Amino acid sequence: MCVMIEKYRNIAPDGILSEIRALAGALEGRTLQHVSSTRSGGGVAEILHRMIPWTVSLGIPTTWDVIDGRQDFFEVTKSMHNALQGADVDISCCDKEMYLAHLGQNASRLNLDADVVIVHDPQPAFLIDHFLSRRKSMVWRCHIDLSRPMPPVWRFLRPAINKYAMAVFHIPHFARKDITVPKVLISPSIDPLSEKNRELHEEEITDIVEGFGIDRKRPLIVQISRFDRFKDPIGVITAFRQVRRHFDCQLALAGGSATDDPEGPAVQAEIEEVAAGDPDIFVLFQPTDLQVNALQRAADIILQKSTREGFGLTVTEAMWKGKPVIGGAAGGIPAQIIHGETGFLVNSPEGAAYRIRYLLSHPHIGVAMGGKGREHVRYNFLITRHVRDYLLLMLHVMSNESEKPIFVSGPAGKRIRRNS
Amino acid sequence: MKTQYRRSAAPFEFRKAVYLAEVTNQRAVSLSQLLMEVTIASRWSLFFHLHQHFFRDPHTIPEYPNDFSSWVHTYLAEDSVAEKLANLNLVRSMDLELVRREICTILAQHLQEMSGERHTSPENAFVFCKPRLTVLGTGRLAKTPAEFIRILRDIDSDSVGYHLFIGPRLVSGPVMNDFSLWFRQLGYARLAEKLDSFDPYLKSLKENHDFLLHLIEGECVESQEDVRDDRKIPEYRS
Repeated sequence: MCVMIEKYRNIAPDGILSEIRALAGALEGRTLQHVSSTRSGGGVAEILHRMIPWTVSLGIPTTWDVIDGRQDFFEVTKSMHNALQGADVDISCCDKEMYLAHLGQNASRLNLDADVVIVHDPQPAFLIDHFLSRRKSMVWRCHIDLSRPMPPVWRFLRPAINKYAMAVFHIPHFARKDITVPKVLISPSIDPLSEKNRELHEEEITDIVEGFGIDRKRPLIVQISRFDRFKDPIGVITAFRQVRRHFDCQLALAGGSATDDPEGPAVQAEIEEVAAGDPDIFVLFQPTDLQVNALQRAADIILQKSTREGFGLTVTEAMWKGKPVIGGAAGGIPAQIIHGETGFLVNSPEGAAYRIRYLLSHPHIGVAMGGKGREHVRYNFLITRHVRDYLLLMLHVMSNESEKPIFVSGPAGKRIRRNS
Repeated sequence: MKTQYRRSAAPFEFRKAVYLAEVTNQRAVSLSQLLMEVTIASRWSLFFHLHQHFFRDPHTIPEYPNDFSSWVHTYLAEDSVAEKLANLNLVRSMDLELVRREICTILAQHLQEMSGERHTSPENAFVFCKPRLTVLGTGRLAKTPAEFIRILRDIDSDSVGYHLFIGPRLVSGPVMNDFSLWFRQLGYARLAEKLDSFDPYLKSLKENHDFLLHLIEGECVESQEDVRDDRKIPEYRS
């Protein structure tokens, strides 16, 4: 009996748990190796810390290697990361040479010998050049929005990506046409047992949100996200003020700024200036995971009014808490919100204001949407589905076949046979 | 009347399928591009965009029940075309080439009738995907209708989806769904006919599951006592 499967029983769908068991049976004794740029901080490290105990408990020995380097190495990788997501930066030839030399040193101490090796994000991507004989077992896992990269930086990285056996993306639009290796989709996920998503008692929620000065007797609208112009915090305040002409309600904008985002403090100052003097707008800086959980659970409606977005896991978190979500039609948000079913997609502050007013005047519809959203997340965006997809990825990488189905026999998946 | 049911058939093996979506390089930002890409898309790609919603959420059926109609509605706001694409004759068209032809006809007729064409932005393009399938055995085998009903009661709805939509496409020959094939082999012609003729595209996977259970239970109880007494169906020998 797998401990992890038992922990998630009655939370994740039984069907997905049985799929995990069958796939793990077929993969028993196979090995998995992750390579990333850091062991702490950021979404990749967070998901690997939760994913690795899963695969280990399923009988798949899993290791995690991290590249190291001097500060100047990581400054280059950070610039590369930002440029690939559209920031207007270039990388000099000297920096590229230094980066490649450092990665070469990392390659000489790494042993990428697992049955499947998953290399996460651009920073370690060039390791493939040092392990070409193993390329058929190596996968590049992209966690960023690659749809509008700075061309010179993308031209630098692309040849490395095209040497992998496969590349994995969050949503179809991130899977660029000029990547010539097979491109598959695996959505990110949330862990329902984490501090940010675990169930909370009402008293706990009340204690936390009242600690911020929020009145639980009046409707609360919440947006949790980095203080970043792409999250349109000013648009959220504009929408809220239009709503408040009709409804007595409150707005909480909670977030922080990433260390690699120089604009963060400026955006925060802008938000504070626009919200100044309004007792019903709460600007909360760097809330803890538990506070985020409580704010989301206390909310009547959750917004994610992004104009540009990666996948938007805050939408997933909100839906998991049974809340109707109003999201900007950007990035991975339309892949999550079923318009009119689990929430609404909007394109302007006016659109957001109208949908907030609609939900505040039809609270029963908000409750029904929230319920549907939670089920949608249960099937599609919990870590259990993510684990299952990684097991599928391992099977497909090892089978090296894209056209014919793979057959796994029996509930414990002891045997793999291919159809003729 | 009852003796005709006593035929042997291989046990029914309940299976399910899981998949990774593979992104192809085919994209469309307008109806004319959609028409062009549908013309050359692989059959499994068409299958994926016509069926993926069943497997994403077994409890709901979206307002526009396939990816093509949903995209045309959401990103091109061409609602008359979206409605026609929602109304594809899928239940009678196990052959995806017929479905391809129907989609192309709808798009071509509309393009012929209209003067200008709407485009959406590249980030809202229709991106064609195809499934990389893995078929899983569930370890549940039914040798008799009674066993079949018992398993159907507690099997996952995804397994029902596999046998309605995927299983028939992995075998050669005209098969509407795996259930009707098996019951026909057992001699349950009337039930097989009903299983062939019902429309699974109007229901969610869970609703299809409930409907099938009700239909098969009703027909088997009505036809004979075998539902209560498994021994009357001969054992299958491989």
